[in-house]
Amino acid sequence: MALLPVEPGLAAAAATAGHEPATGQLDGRHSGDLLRLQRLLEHGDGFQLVFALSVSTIYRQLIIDHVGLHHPAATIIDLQQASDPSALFDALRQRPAGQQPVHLIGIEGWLHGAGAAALRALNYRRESLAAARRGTLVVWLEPGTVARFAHQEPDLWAWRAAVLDFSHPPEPRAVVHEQRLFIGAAERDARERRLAEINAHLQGVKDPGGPDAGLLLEASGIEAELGRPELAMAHAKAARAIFRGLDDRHGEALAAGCAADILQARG
Amino acid sequence: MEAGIEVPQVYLAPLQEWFRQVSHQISRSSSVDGALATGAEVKTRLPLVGSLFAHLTTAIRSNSTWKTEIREQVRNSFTDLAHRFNQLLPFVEGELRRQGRARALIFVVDSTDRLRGDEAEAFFIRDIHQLRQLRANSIYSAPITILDEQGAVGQNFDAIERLTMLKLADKGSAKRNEIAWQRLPELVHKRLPAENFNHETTLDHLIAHSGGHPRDLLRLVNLCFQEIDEGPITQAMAATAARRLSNEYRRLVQPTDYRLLADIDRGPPAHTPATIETRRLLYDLVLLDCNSYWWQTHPAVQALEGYRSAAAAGGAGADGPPAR
Repeated sequence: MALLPVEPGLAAAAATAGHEPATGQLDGRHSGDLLRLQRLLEHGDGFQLVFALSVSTIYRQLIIDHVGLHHPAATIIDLQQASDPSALFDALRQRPAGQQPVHLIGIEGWLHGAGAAALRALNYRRESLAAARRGTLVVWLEPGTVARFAHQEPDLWAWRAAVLDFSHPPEPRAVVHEQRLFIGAAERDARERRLAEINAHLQGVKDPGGPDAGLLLEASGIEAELGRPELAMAHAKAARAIFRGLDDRHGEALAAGCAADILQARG
Repeated sequence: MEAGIEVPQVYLAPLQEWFRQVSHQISRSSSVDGALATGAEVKTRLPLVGSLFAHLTTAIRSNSTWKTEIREQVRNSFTDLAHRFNQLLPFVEGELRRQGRARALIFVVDSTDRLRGDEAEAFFIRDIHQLRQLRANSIYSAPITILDEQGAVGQNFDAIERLTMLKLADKGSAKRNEIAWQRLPELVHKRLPAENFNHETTLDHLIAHSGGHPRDLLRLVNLCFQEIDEGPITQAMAATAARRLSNEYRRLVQPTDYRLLADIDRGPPAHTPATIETRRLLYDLVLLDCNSYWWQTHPAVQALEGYRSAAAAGGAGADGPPAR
């Protein structure tokens, strides 16, 4: 198994399969859980067990690198090729004792090679795990592995500090989401047309997602430019509510900022 | 705990000798180093048994390979151990009574509920004759799956007590069980004073969402801390924590489980169908075992969309636990 120090700085995300984030940007819906992870790492002063879910190895590395900005000493233990039930404990014993976070990846490969004995060993020896690791252990899993973990390692599962979900697939985007109006240079007619386009789209949306909340923010900006602050505020509030429901803390902050700008402009 | 009982060497020597023999066998038959072979310290005060076996338990915990070897050796010589232990026990009990410190001795064996599958069956059913050789009052923790095993366990033990969740209310009743609603805040306030909550109803919300599961209640409080920058825990934080706990449980529930869960909640208290599915759900704490042995879906699962749909389809009034 490989022990890799985390390189500080965001990893450049190479485009792979169609659903991979090509730009290396974090999905706003994950900003809430990313914030939680940072808090856990910042305030934890003993052993903590965190489960993190992802479906993309590239995106997972993006998150790990983002975390590494504040915790450059964080390391990765990759169990993908391991087949010994004691592989994790052996790997931890090789590490110097300390509070630096450890990201554990390749769990599915390890379970495939080591079998059910690996989970039994992990559950049975969880006190040894806590004794060997004074910091946070971030266990990266595919979403489908969680139930198996919880069922076969109930005592270790009960120790979890958090389950963080970075596995949402990218949200579908329509043409209306991609065509953004450059408000500053647009004529009034173009702004009204864009508003109509946005409103027509949103009327047909049952469950607005992050991109739709983005449209509401755009509409808020246009309304503000057209001198209609009440409508602008309504759109900003609606966007904020959607972002809050998605746990998109980044989006929520943007919407709050828009609302603050409107209030400031109103005097 | 120091019991202040001087145990004559004549009672200790057989146990110490057993330990030395077993350790020697293990060291000889495996590549284990001399860590086990140091033998028991010569202690004449309780808890002697704990210190005697501390080396074995440490070795078992530190290495899965040794575990198998150690267990094999202990199993092969268990009758001998039981005999020597039974020689010590009457002396200790007699001494406790003579000193007026206790009427009886009880051994509480915890963590045996962690045994799984074949190991659990061996311990509680197939090899039960070994445990019964120990002439001691003992309480063993058992995994819930064993309690459903064809009644075999009931024949092997003198009594079976199910440790259920704290009952927040009777099934289908909105009336609170006041004792639980007093004790659970005490549980929290031993760790976090009341002033850390903006209002007592905030903690009530967490209690309701825990379903009477003490560990989940503490987990909910911890989840609140993950949301907080400063100030007391508010209703909004409590609601977010509850939502997060629900998302964790969502991972454990299969789509076909929701209808079963809604049916159980809708049914009378006696409706506790023992199936592979309900056993799994009990094991994963999706289904909670409550006082007098009725079942109820964990409130964290009741909050999920899948459950609400199933409950609505069945016409259930599954509104979750009683709120104030």
